[in-house]
Amino acid sequence: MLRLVASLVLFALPVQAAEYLTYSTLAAAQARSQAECTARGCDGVHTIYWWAVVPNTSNGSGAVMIDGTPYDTTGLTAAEQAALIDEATATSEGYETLTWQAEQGQ
Amino acid sequence: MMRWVLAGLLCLASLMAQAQVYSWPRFPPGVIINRQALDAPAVTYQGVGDIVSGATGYWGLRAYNAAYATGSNNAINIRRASDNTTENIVILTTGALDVATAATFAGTDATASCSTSGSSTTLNCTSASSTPNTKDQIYGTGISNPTLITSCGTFTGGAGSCTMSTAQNISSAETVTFQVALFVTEVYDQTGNGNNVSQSTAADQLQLLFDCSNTSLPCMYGSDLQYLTLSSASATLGNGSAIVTAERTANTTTDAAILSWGPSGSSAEYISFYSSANEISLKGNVQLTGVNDNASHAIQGVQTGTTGSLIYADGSGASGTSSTSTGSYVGLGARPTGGHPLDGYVTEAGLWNGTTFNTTQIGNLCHNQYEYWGTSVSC
Repeated sequence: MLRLVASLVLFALPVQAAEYLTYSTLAAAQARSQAECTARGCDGVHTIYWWAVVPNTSNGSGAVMIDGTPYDTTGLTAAEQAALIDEATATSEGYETLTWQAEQGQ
Repeated sequence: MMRWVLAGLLCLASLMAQAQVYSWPRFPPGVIINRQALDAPAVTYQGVGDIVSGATGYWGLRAYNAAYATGSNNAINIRRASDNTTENIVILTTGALDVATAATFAGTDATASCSTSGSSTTLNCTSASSTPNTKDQIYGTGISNPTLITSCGTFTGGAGSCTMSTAQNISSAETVTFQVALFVTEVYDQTGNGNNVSQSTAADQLQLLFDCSNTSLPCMYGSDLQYLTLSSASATLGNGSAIVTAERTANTTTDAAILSWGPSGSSAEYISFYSSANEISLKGNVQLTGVNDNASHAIQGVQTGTTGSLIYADGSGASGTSSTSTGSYVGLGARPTGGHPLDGYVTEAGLWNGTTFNTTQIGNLCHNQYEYWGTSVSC
């Protein structure tokens, strides 16, 4: 029997740098992520949050991380879009930015 | 007198010849008795759980063992990108994932008549039924599997272009089908121990790809911090043995966990693609080179907590010393809380807590993984 040798073609989806929407508490950031998921039809059981959220280790606040692929801000209001900060700024402000290089506290 | 003797001898010879042709009791020509004994034995599915039983957890896109392959046991729960609804997908009686049901659930996002200018990642389309979406998996004559859409421009009057994850050469316009993307919300533990791993954040869910592993089998693909996790396993996890079937496709100089267990922090136990290209490791302590990136591998690890810890891939291995920490976390596609995620795909993972595989078991597991998934090196 001819055997196909497995060799997945190399590819990696291009990653746009993440941006962050900050909140006074981590819970508030989680609530925003959950509301977005609900608005998009998530079942609330298997999928609860739309975006990842990250804590701020210096002041206890939190931020929604708008992910790279696909980079989708369609659910944000105009005010929220204007309030987005880039990863460098988020990192300097103490947010645990989730890049694949980050230890995430581990 | 002599003629009668000769006739009798001839008659006797004839009878003897007939007796040699037919065995007693006699059956008419063309009737075969005991057919079952002559037919080739039925092919029976074997999973890694049939090779070594007693896993603490098994998460995979095939059956853990033959007993699980009833046709009604769940393997994964998937979310459809078009409307975020979810569905459980079972393991078939063949031991395979029910990809047909999953594909039907996904549905078609769009169809279009598309071509490329030579070999290119730019797909130029007309007559599109709707604008395709990022992460759609696409199908068409000569399109290699798996190929995803990474972005699309504006479509006007059904015409527009998209960027593909791999270059294709479609010189004459052909019908391309864009399949709605599916994401894995949960992988069910098939051992019966209830150690399901899940991901409730949409952005962090691995994508289920069809025609991925060995070009015809499914896989779970991550490229941007996707993983599944469990925080309260059925047992305290530490020393033990594990298997994974996986491939790293990018970020080849960053440690990328495939399966992790025990504590949630930096002392988690794990099997990973190491922070050097073409290399794997057991917790970064025992390393094995010559495990090529961009190729799938049957991997086994043994964490003894001391000397004699092992990491094997495709029949080759290395031993060394590795200390152990314990905890109740499990991570699939990353460390338990998402650190060091895999950029690539995984098709199965299993953990036998407190068990030390011997080399015979490692060899048999490797062969089972290779036989099913068609990994890149025979073992």
